[in-house]
Amino acid sequence: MDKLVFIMTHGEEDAEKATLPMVMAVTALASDVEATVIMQSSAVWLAKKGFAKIIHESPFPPLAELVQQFQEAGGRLLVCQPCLRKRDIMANELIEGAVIVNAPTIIKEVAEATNVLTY
Amino acid sequence: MNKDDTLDAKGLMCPMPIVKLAKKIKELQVGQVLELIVDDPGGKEDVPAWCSRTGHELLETKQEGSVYFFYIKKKA
Repeated sequence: MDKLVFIMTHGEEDAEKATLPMVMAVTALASDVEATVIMQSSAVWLAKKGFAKIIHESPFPPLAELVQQFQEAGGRLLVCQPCLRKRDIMANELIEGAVIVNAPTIIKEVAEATNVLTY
Repeated sequence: MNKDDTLDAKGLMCPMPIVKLAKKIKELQVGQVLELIVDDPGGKEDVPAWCSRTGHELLETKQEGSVYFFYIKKKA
């Protein structure tokens, strides 16, 4: 099965760029393509419990709904540990299913992917 | 066109028609035909692309005004 990696680097400051990768990842899963989302930089805020609920960039569905769809469909959500630490976001504040990783894991995911899309 | 089930996705925007289509097709038996109705203009290209990607057979497409009807046969 093909595998796509979506790298998210935007949060609340650019709601459209925060939403688009999750739109694409959900669509990938619905198209029989494996999908991993990697949150880096300010996108890591979106992994904090309740935070995604404040982002709804019409006409896209609310981000929290997309994240739920993504996880229900078997998507893998990775969150950059140094990016979390920079923002004082603790592991116990993250949504269920979010996996904290460092650069080596991200490199492995990217190297093994069919393709990578960065937002 | 004979159909076994219908998914009315009118009013839904990307990515929800395809997300709901992927869920709905799992409920069908192999060989059954799903009627998908969308009014998202992108659906005209999106649904054939999804069928090509997943292997489900797009039997027929028709358009009535701004509404598209797709008949998709579930693959084995």
